[in-house]
Amino acid sequence: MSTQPDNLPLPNKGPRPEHELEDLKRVWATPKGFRIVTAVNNTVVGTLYIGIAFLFFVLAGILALVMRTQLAVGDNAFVGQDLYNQLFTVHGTTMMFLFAVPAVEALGVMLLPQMLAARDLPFPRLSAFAIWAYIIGGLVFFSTIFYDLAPKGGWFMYPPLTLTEYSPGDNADFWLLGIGFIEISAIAGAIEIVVGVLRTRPPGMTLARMPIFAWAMLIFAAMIIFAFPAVILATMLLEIERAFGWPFFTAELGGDAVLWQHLFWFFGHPEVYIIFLPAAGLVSMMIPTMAQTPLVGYRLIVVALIATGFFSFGLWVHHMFTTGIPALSLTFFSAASMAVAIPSGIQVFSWIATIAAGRERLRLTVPSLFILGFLFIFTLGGLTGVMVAIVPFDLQAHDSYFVVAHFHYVLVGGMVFPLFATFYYWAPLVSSRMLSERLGKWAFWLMFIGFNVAFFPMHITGLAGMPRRVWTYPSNMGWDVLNTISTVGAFTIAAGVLVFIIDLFRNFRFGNGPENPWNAGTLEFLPNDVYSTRSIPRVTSRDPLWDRPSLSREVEEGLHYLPGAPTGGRETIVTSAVEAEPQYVIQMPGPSWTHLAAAAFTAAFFLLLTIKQVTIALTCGVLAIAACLVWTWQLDKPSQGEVDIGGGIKLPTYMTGPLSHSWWAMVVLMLVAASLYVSYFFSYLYLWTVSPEVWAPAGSPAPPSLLYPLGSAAMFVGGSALILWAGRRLPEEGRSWSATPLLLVAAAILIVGAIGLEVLGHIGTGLDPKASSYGAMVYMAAFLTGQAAFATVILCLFAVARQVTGQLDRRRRVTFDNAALFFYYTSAQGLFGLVLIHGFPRLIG
Amino acid sequence: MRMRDTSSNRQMIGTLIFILIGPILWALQLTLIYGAQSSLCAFEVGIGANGGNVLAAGTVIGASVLCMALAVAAFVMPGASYRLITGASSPDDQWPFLTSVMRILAGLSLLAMLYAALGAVLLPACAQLR
Repeated sequence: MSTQPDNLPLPNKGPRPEHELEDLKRVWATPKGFRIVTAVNNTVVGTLYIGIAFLFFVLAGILALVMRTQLAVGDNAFVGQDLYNQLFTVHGTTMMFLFAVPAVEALGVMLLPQMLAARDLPFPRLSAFAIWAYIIGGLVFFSTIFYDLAPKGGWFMYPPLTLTEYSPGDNADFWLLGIGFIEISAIAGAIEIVVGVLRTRPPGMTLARMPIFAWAMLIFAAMIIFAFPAVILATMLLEIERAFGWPFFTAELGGDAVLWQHLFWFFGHPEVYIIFLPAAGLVSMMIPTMAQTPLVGYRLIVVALIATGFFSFGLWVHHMFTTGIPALSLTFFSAASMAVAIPSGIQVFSWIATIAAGRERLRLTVPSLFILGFLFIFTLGGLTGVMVAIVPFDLQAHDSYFVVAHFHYVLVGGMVFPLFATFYYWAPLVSSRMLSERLGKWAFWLMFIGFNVAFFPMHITGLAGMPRRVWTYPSNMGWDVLNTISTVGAFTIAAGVLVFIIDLFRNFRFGNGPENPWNAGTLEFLPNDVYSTRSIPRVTSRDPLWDRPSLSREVEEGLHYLPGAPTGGRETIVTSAVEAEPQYVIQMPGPSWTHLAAAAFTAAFFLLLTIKQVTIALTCGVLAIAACLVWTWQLDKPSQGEVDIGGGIKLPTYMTGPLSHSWWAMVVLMLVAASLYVSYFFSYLYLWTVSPEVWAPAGSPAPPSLLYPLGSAAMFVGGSALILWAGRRLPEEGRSWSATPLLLVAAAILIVGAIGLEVLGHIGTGLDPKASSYGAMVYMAAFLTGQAAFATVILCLFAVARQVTGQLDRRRRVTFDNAALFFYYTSAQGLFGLVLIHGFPRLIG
Repeated sequence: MRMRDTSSNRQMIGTLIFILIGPILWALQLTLIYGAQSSLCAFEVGIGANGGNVLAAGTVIGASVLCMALAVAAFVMPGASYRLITGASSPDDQWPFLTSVMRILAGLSLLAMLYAALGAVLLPACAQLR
């Protein structure tokens, strides 16, 4: 199949008017000088994102070298116990939260628009906000290691060790608030990726023709949406317990430290696949190019990605096999651990089959070497994964160096090696020069040999009984030689990374590199500039550059869709999620200081709270909201009428309702909020099963009279009714007066009143959140809905301001629709909470 | 422009759900069996000798059979499942891709559900076994 069947005319005729290209260059120009920090183009912020993620990889790697030096021989005193605890905590936290997830999200931001031939992802400022928030928050978090403020509880931060009694000071708070904040940044990126992959594909790129990396990123983002809220809730609960004494994790008051483990690992295990799946997607893109043949088993790989993503949510308890859970429960998770091996295996076999089916022998380039290294190392990690999925074996290997070896084989093999392959393979998209094959091969062999020398012996060290997380060990245990070998291996890896850095300095130069240097078949190797591709092709196959050799020239000459900038601003085509048929043209925002200010003040808010500077923190919080409001004020541009994108297709330039990208983004945000609340619901029921003796009505004050929840419910429902009514009273175009603002304000008052009444009722019964886990859980429900209500009120008042200024009417109504959607969601959550908090104690009482 | 073509939107989201029928049922099964079994064991409802619990084991097997039956139904009748979820007829050009992905995922999910359910047949529901 060809991209544009020969019997069909191209969408546009050439030669194109000269001003089209000039318009594109002007509209998409990257800001110069210091204003470059305001840039939102995916190539600029994506490169910055990946660069900072790599910086964190190097920094965390240096911490690993310090640890390996300490462990090289027994009874060593190179670093003290306290510093060692900080080192392994910051190493793990940085590698997982500041390197691995951001690196793959960065690749999504950088590569997806090119692979989808979109001008950019649909919310470029949101991406830029997420990136800056991550940079500021990440650098501050990492710097704590230099002044003895780093957390010491491991990257998993298990209570009770991390409760105030055992971890006094601010160290743990830096983890809880700093990482919690960075998780929010990851979620912002995930929303962007979900909507981008589903709605900004080129015409004709159906689900069956999507690049595997796009599939992988879609699943990656969906997993973030469902996994991260669990750990966000966990960090909220632990921080609230540390700051205010609400006993979620304190056993004598009805809490349970194992609740943290459930919430953390419900995030933590999918996290492994959140890191691995995009890397697998990258491998699935590179192998066909290196073998010069289409991917064998495309459908099976799509299945494998989806199945792995799903099954990974059923594995969290396999990190908790030793916590005393009944054996049958363990089998459910052991079974899921076995099941997930099948889709992982499918991918490996598909890659091997593609290599075997190649039109020519696999080109042994640097990307190929890193991919082969990945296959070897990841497969070994997978085999030991099956071993630790077997409960009796895990009981023996748990908390030993065997586990350290296993997860490094999985994570370094499954993510770091594909990432280095990626650096070499896709460098030409952002660098005018290719990276060196000679230096790349040195880097690979040093890293590959170093990795196996460092980590293979750890299997034996672990089986010989060496526990994890120890700062030293007695010399007479027989572990010295193995540890010394591991340390030599660690420094060999570092030498490989150093060679790569030298290669970067010698050869990486910003700019567009040679066109399609690997002879790849996918769209990211079309001629690119700041505006992405000159025109957006209609796609009719999975490897369009192979199937239509003239495509690059046609696209560059502007003969496909949207060859100019017809609205005079930044724009791209929005297509349907399944068939990828053009639906409308989205008008996108350009460079701005607003998202940068929002990121800086949001980071300041969280980090200042860590050191208990509450007043300044709150001021920064207000400034962050103000910056967000200014940012969003510039969005929702009015319709520019219909524009002709070519091929006789005229598209609207404004869309609201269920087909609009903003509606999809809001729905995804609601899924995030719902996931967080489901995690809360689980926590409530879990603590009840652990400590029913503190639950009302027997162990705590009985819930207040039913009049309170009924009153709250009436206000939730009444507010929603007012919102519904307000939508029908939006003014006609060109008018700014209607009853809508009054109705919005009234609805906002009602939703605040609903939560206020709920809290008042419990205060009236004498229920104290510090007295028991039950009290803490009851007030937490109101707190969570209160958070959502706070955002709802801001959205409502923002919509009021838009209407008063004549920027909201029956046609231009995205602002209102978003506020309404979130209002309905918050009311539904509030009602569910009322049923739980007031119904459950009565049910069990 | 405000498009009111919600059927199109339903088809877009419904198609994604159609693909995911198997894994969704697997997630439902895991939630039901883990939730029911751990609650019954925690409150010592129906516990018999040696940590056995007929009620818990029965719940696990019942929930598993239900979810697996639904997955089999989707596997056997993809067209009807698609219409039920999306309210639209199947798209011709993408149908082979959509059905094959749905069916393979349903097959993998059936295997995963079977793995999980087997535990209830082989082990006492509430025992620590160590």
